[in-house]
Amino acid sequence: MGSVLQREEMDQINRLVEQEVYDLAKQVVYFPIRHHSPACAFHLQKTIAEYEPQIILIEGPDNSNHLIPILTAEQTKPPVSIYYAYASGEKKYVCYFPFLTYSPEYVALVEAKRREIPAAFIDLGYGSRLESMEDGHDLKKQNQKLSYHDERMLAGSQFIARLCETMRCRNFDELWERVFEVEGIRKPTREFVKDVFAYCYLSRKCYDDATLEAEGDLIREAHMRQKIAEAKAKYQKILVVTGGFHTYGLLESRKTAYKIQKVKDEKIYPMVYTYQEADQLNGYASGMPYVHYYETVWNAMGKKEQTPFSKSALSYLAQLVKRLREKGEIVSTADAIEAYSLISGLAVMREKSEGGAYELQDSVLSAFTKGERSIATAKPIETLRELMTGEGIGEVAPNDLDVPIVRDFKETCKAFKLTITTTGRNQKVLELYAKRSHREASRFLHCVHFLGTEFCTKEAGPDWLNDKYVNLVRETWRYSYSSYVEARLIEASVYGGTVKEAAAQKLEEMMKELPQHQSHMLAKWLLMAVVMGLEKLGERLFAAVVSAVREDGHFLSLCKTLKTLSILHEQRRLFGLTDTARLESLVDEVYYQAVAKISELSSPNPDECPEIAEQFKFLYMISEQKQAEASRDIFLDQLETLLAVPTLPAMLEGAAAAILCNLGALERGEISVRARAYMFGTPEKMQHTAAYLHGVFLVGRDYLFDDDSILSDLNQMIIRLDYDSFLQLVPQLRLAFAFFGPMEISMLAEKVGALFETTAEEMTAPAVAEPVLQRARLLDDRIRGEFARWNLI
Amino acid sequence: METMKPPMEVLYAAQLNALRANDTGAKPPNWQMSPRAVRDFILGADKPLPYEGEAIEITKKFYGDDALIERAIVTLAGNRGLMLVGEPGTAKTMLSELLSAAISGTSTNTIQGTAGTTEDMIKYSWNYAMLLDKGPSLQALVPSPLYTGMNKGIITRFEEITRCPFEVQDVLISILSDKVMNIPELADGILFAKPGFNIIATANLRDKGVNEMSSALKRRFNFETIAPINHVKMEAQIIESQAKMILQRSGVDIEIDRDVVEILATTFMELRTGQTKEGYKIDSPQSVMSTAEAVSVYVQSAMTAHYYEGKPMTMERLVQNLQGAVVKENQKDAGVLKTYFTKVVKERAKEEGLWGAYYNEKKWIK
Repeated sequence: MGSVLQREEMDQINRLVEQEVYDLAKQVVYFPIRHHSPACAFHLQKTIAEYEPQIILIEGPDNSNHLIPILTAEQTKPPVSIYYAYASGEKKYVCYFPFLTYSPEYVALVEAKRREIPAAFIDLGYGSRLESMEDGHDLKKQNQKLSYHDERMLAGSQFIARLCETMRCRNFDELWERVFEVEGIRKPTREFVKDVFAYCYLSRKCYDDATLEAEGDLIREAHMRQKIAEAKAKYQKILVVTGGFHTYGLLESRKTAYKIQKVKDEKIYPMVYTYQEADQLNGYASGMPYVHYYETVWNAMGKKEQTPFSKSALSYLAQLVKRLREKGEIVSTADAIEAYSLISGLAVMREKSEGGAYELQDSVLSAFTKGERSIATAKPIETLRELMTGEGIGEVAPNDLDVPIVRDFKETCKAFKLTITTTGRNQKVLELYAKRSHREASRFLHCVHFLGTEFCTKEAGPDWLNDKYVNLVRETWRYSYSSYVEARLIEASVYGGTVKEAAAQKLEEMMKELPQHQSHMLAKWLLMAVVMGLEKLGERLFAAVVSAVREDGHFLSLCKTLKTLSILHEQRRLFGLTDTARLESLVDEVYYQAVAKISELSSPNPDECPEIAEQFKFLYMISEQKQAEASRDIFLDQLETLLAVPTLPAMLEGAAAAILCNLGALERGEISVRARAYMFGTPEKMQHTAAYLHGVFLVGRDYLFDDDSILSDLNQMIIRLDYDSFLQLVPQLRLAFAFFGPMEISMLAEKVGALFETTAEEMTAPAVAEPVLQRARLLDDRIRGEFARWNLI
Repeated sequence: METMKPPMEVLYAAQLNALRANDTGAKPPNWQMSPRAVRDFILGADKPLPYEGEAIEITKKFYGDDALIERAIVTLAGNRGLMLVGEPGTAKTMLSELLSAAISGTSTNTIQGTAGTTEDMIKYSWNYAMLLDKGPSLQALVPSPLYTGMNKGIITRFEEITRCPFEVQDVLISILSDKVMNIPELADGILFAKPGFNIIATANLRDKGVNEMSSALKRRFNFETIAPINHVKMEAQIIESQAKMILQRSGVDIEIDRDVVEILATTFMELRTGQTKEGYKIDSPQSVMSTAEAVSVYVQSAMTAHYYEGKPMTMERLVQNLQGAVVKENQKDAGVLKTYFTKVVKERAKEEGLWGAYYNEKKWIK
């Protein structure tokens, strides 16, 4: 790569490395790294062995030094991460500092522990770092998954882009792998450090000071310089491990005046991490991709393999064949053999000592694809990429900082046999009525879902809140665990120490914002609390519903409350409700409250009419179930009062009249009398016919079949209508008849047919096509003519 | 001798010679140059190479996925054949010619597959006069390109393999895995393939009238899919250079109009991908909108304009030929093209130079 650089520049770099960066005789040795690079970790290990530092300083937030013992504990298994969160005003910021087994930072921590020397993070805390930046900076975007490592500056420079082109590499990662991983591990450590430093130095030179300042790099470097200076006073041999991009910044004798912006309440927790999230391809530029693949390479390097990349490729090809066979793909060992030989062929052509991740992918693409590249033939390469990313989840040793809610979550998952050790998508089917444990699991999953963790979603099952699919007896959940879920749980920890507590607390806070007089919303929350199994909150909510019902003056709201409470009452066994007598009396109370409002509905908002009519029907059904005479009487009284109002909207009139007829308070003939009043009334009245019928049919469709006069009157009316009025009325009429089932429709068709002295079949037969008619007519005319000619007619 | 279309080894003789002379890499047995030199021949080299006192520039001959070329070359050095698949007109044949010209020095050892290809066209047949006269002998045997490839250790190209009947394709199965051909008519009739032998097959998997390949045959090939170019500038560059070459060879010496080429490339790409450069979705015609097709539209238009109007190019001719290229099997494609003009071209006609003239010829689309 020397050929790419100008001689003077190379001299300058050589001088810096020899004298300032990597002089093992000096008090401070700087080791430049790229995050998640096994070659960097490999040479770092060697450097530590050779230099024998007294302390290792690492680029990482200095407010998380207390986590180092947890991270290096034996029970901790990477990938793990440190989670940072803080709020500034309205905005919330979150970021992760991930560690993989072979992350140079992690290797440094582990080595320090083994050698019983201190290790410390020396960078600005995450909050302070962000606060020192201007508003509107990319890193300050809210709700983004951010990594503490940000490589855009390193991988995005023009210098690197040119280099990729010259060296025939597809992207920065391939370039990096070729120069630093595959060839890097074969170089002496000093040479390797020189190369990494040269790359990073030149990338850095592509940015001016203003950019570095705006990105917050200068402040961070000033802070790190100060920390190094502090260490110098105490230790004789200091090893500084930072991203290569910053190494030059640490050497500069630039005086940057800076003030640390203190951040209050920054939350810092150790938490698990997943390979998927650590993989750069899953979102942000923050280290090398294909994390599991490089872990395999790292392990092979640990076993002192001469060709760790080839060994890893071999193991991957074997895994791939196995995995593809499991997926039902037809693959043969011959494909793997061909791929393996392709890897070495490609490596020779591309002048690499061994084929790496890109040769592995290229070879699988060539040898395993059978046919044109498309979704159908993409399985092998997709599966390979899945394998290279890995699907495991790390483990953090038990510790005091462990967030109680996360512990509770994991224990409960274990109790309910929910898989949280891999990142794959899982399914759980719960038999709500059959098994008690399934009901409990359902409540737990509802809680977790409510907390917004994105751990699970209900795919099928009864939806009590919206009164849908309530006939289903099973719930199907889909869930998958990731560190994202854990992070959301940590955020939810402000609400409580267990999942249940947190859900209850969150629900309660949401309730506070609700206007008191809306009883139906409270009832909904109550149902929700019961579905989630939050008994204590349920108690309080129950009391709140009771008082809200008394204050609620809105008919529709009361009816909705009644509906929700009825569901609760009907499903009391499923929900495990014990105090049913109290619930029953509340249902009664809401019923009376609602019914008592009926007489006030004489001039409702026209938009609400259909809903009110629906609720009449619902109340009618409830009143039928009631044993007490009194409850029915008040309903009758109220409806009669309402029906006496001359300006009552037609739909309500229809519904009320039909209910009263059903209850025997009105003659059945009254329905058609009232209908006739509309149909043969003034044109304006006539327009309301459909609404009236809609109301009637909502409650009882049988009126149409009992009394033929309605249909014949309707027919009369339609015949008399002019075209425009008919068009105006048609949509509403269709709506009114929308309640009829197929059977009823055919009965209706017969009745209509009888009116026109025809049959239903004839009416539904397809119309004769125009040309056929024309032909028939022509034929008719001809025959007539012919007959006339023969004097037959 | 003057030929209509000289083979690649003749067309690029100077470049091949320069590469061979400067090649220091290891060569697989019987290859004329190292894999790296083959790659440079196809993808171009940074610096001109010295040859007999001249600096020879190695031009880029294939545009698209560079890694694909590397994979293809390495495949040919190995045990399996190379199968180039993809939509019509994506330069599969050209790539196979370039590869065999570079590797074996000849691109003419070719089986041209058709629905009428028989087994003896693939393996060997006999000179019947000699056969009757002297009985079966090597002299009486008429070798096929496959036989020649095995015998000499060179690449055999198999064009349009999927057009051949299923049972004829399968002749290749045992030859590819055992690298041996049995000739039972001869006493010691076994032909062992020499190192350096391999097959580059090109296939079309989507056209009408193609046969499905057996899984056994598929297993003996590494597949490389050549995708259409999705880059207007690159496509324009190819149209320009190809059209120029064809026109020159036909004796029509005219300048290529870059603006027209760009309009043509844009139209083809937008219709092919079903998306305009502004990001709007449009309908795609059923016909294949390949780069080769675009080249032919340009050449046709330039020729008609040259001979009938005495001009290098007219928009009228361009749109007429475009209509011919798009509307082939399905009349609905005419509607697609018409909509493209009324929606996309019309919009651009308001601002961008030549698009206005292009739109004015919409009347030819029927």
